[in-house]
Amino acid sequence: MNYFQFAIRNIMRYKKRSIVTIMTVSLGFTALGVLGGFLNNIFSRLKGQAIVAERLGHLTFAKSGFKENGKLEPEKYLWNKKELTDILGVLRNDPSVDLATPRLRMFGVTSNGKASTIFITEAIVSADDQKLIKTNVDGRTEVDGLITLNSKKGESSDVIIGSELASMMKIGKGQNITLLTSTKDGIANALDVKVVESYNTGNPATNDKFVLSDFSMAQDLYDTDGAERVVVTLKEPDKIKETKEVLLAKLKSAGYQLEATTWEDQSASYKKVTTLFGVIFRVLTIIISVIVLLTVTNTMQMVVTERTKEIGTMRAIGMLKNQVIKLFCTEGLIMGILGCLAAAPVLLIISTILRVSKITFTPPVASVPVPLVMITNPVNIVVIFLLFCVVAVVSSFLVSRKIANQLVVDSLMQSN
Amino acid sequence: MVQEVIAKTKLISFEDITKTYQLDTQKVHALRGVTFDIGKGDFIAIAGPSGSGKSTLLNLLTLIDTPTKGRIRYNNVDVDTLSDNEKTLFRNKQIGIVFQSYNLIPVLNAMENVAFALQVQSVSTAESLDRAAQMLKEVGLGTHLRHRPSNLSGGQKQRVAIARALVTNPSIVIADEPTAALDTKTGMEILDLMKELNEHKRTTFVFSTHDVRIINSVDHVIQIEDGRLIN
Repeated sequence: MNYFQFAIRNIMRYKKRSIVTIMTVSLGFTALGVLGGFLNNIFSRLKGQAIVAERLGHLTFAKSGFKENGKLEPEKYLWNKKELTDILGVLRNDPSVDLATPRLRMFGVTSNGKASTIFITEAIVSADDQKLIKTNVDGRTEVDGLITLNSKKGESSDVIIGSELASMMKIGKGQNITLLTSTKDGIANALDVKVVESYNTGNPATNDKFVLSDFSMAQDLYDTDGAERVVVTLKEPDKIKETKEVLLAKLKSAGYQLEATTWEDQSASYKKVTTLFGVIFRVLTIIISVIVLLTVTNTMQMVVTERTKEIGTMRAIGMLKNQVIKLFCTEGLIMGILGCLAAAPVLLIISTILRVSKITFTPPVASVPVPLVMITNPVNIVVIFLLFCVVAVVSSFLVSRKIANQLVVDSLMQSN
Repeated sequence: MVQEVIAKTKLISFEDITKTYQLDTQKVHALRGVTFDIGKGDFIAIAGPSGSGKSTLLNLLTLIDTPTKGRIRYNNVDVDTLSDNEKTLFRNKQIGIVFQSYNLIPVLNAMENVAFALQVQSVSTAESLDRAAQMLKEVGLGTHLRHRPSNLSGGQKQRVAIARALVTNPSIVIADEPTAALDTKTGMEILDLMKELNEHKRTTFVFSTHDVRIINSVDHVIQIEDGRLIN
């Protein structure tokens, strides 16, 4: 008879009470598992939206100081043609880089001849963008409804605009709009472009002003043969931080002192949402853990009260205080483990129902509905599992420590 | 020479033991300056009316309680100097306890209940179960090894309790009214069993009792009244 067997028998002895405790642990585990699964889904969709739909890639390289002052003095942070070629050469030759593509971003006013509004244009190399929008994000390579320019079929003056912008300007497929902006030297420049498509950018903040334009057209509009940024996607995105340092070092040795920002650093909405939901999840985890702690404590308290004389007997026979505590902690641990294990099939059923039912929802700061599914992160599950086991052991410890320290004679006098 | 022999055979000595309890604002004197010795191999009954201090005396003998004043020696070891854990280990190895209401662990069968006393000493499961089975056979329960306490009669439960007290080969077995919860016939059987074990194993037995027949069948009687020894 070891502690484990002894503990199992004691758990079986108080069946109803043990089942209630195991169910509480199980409910807590399920609640956190489902919530965690939803949040992982939201985070993953927002990640896809940032990397692919917002076309941030994994890393963005620019001249040092661009992030801080690039909007005020954009001309200072432009690379010329030779610099751009050199930088692209270094990046494209690195085995960790999947794609390196030049970018320009401009702001200005767009008009349909009757009304005008502001626009932001992201100028892309269409062949590169075809590849970027198929970037694998958490196992998914497609973002629903995402389109890009097709340079083979279209002209360089073709643009794709945000659906809200199209709606505001009452612009349909094949119609022209005018983009008015200034060149790098501050001279006003305008260009008529043809709207070949409109799509929901997925982000309400950009959907009413976004224009996806051709890189060479944007170079003409800005009067430059260079670029301000190079967007990179990686073959191993998990190693983003290490790769970033390696690439910066390589560029430095090629004579270019650049700054690199990750997609996370650039996507303000992703950071805000993950921070907010992270806090909510942590608060809920604490609340549920406290409920589990109180339930296990309550059960253990009742068990200990009923077994006081038995504990006294075991102590009288020769069981040490720490052996008594160990026995009760084993009982708590087993109930914690059983509760978590009981939750596993429940989580699986909920996950399957959601996947099969194809329910959709619109995540915060997004404008495109996404499937309401659970993305289960094994690390999160293991952390919750360990947390609940620790909570069960701690509550058992707190209760049993008191009874183990009671005088044996007092324990034996308990009339039960 | 005589004194040397006495010193060698003395197992326990109670020296001027006083035990006082605080009951609300009132002080209760359970024992008042009790002094006596118990020798190795003795078969002793502690007799006295209810409230006389018998249970307190047994609690002190089993080291589950401490005296307010005085000194208890086991084999010339002053047990008051031992820590709680040391007392527990000492109790496990040197003292077997038999409770009036058996106090068997309900989730363990007869053999496991007896083996439990060995397992807390870290004796292997196989060896402790082996020794437990052997001990149960000695107390006449060889056919009830796997019976849970709920499936045993009062007399059988007390035999299991005695086996549990003896399995660690203690110097002394202390029993609190071991026959009180049993009918007369079973009570006498238990007493005969204890006497037999005392004679064969030379294990010291000390037990409290009210039963006159039991008192008449023991070697020595410690008579106690109002916390004082009267005989």
